[in-house]
Amino acid sequence: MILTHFLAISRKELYHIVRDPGTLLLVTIGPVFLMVVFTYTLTSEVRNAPVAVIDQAKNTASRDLIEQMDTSEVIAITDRLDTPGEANDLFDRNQIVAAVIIPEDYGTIKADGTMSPVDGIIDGTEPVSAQAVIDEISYIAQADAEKIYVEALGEDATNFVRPPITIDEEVLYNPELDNLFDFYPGLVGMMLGLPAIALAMAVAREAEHGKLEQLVATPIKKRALLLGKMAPYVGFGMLDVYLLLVMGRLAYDVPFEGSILAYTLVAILFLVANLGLGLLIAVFIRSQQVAMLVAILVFFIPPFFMSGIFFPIDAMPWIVREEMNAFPATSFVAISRPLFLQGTGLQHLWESTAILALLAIGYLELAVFAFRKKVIIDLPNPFHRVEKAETDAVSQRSVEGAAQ
Amino acid sequence: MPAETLVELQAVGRQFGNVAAIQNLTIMVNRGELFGVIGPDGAGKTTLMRMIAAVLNPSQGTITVGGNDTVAAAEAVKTMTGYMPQRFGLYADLSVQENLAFAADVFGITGKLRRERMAQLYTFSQLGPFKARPAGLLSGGMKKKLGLATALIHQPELLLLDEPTTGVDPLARRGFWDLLSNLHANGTTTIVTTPYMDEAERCSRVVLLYEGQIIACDEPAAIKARVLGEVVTLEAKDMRAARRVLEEVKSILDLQPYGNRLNIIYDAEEAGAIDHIRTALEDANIAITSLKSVPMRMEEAFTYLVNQHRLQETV
Repeated sequence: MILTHFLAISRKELYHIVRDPGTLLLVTIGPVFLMVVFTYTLTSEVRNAPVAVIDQAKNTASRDLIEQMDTSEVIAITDRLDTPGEANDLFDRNQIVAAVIIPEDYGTIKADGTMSPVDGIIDGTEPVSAQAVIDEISYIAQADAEKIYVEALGEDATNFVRPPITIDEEVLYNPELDNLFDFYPGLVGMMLGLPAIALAMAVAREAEHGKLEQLVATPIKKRALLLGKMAPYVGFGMLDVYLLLVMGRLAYDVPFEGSILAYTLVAILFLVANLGLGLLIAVFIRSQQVAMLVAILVFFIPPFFMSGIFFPIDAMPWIVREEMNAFPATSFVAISRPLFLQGTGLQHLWESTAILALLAIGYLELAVFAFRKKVIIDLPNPFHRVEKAETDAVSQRSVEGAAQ
Repeated sequence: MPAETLVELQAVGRQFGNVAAIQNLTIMVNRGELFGVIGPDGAGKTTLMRMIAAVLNPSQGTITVGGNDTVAAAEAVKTMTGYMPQRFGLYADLSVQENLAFAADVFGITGKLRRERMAQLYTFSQLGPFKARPAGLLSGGMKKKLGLATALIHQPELLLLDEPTTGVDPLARRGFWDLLSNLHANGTTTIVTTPYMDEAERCSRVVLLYEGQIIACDEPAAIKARVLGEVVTLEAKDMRAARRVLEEVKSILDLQPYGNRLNIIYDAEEAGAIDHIRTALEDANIAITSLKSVPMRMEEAFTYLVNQHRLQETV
């Protein structure tokens, strides 16, 4: 009987998903689309940042330096000014992010062997792009200074100049695919919050549209009801897992060193835990909009900041670390990163796998336990004050509304 | 043959916050009855049905269906009842066939029995030609028929229909009640709620609900017989003046405005009462367009009983 019920509910839920274009998109290409947007934002570089130049030297060396800066793709010289004071106005109007001041004696090596440095003023409002601009200007100025020394002193120049700056620093702030490797396996876990959000909304929708009243009046087993609703979402979730895996491989060259079987097992555990949490939310919240908001809060915000995708979880206070274990994404990130990149076997990741299994069973059982096969009637909000004369009429009407 | 009780309500009450939706209700419904729950919106009909369907627990009292308590043995009650909520409880994106098949799965109706039942229900509900149509695209009347068919898939001992004819055109309403009469003739026990008084006449017994309380519970004819009066309907030029005059006439039991007419219930025991009414109006120089006797309907009886009830409450 429970199997018949489970299959009946699953089939019905599958029809709902397939026949509603919105839900279908959300659970099929939704995670893939979100991943593309995310990775694009993560890897986007600073380009053509507007920079003003104040050339106080106006000599061959300074013109040469400006020409070098002009060829950069990171910065673009938009203004040529006479005094540093003029730059302030442009900063205020957000027209430039940096101003470069070339000193009067630029290009001349002094008696003590030094050269007057190029000054830079940077708008630090956006630290990441500011850093990229600083690095670019320093790099160009340093290279230019080096050239001047070499021209003046020949091969001996290396004795005076600091060791050449390597371009490694640039990569750090213009995250290229190397960094994406680190994020990608964790991001897969975050994207798989979408099916859970869709499930929470589906349950809330069934209640909101009055369909649950008919269903709870039948002898259907509540375990079959909740598991049956979840099953198609596990299926679509696995489809997403493989799509994301293939996309990582083909589009971003993310290596996959681990066992596909082990990854499948972990992904199923993770999906069941995530969807169980989604069900638990929907058992208590029977309004679609509120369920969606709560689900977004639960499935995106904590995993983003605290599951270890971007910020190392070891650096967090122990209480946060322990709390984050309640979110299935944390364990999934902890398992899938080494599994993806180093091919680590599950026997070395058993602790996180056990937590995932525990969460999967725990959330499901909690949802089944908390679910009541009854009609939930919302009482009029006691905090909503109405005029005394109106009160009786209003509460009477609310009850009628609730009763219908 | 002594009537066997199927549904028993003992001193049932239900509150929402500080509002009492149902107060101290004691009702017995026998096997084979077509039992009507009649009352205006907000009388507590839906609350009552939900409690009998075991999807809402009573605040006070007990309800049993076939001896099963709706709180302690809710699942047993759900197995033996077919409940059709007021709101369309079926799935709009599923076809007629898929909705029926889903209901059959839920009640564990499989194999040959399932094929037979479904064939019967298609004939009975006349939904056969619409098997493949999504339920959301059915007309209002057909949706109700599909709701009835799914509620009947397991041949329940008790059929619970909550306002099955609200929002349905008069022809479809009559068609639906013909189906209910068929079921009644075949011995199905049905509890049906309706705000339409004319439908009450087709029930074997009715309970009149008003603000969660029983006004009357009896056979329709017996309820009408409780009103010791007869009805005349008046049309006049100045209805307000006519009403003022009639409020002073002693033999009049109740005045019920009804559109641009006034139904007057007068004491039939008193001789020449109808002449009293006519003379009283003529004395006041009120031009009578028409004044004629009409048969007492459930409508008048209900309004009369509610007015009496209110009068008692204020005293």
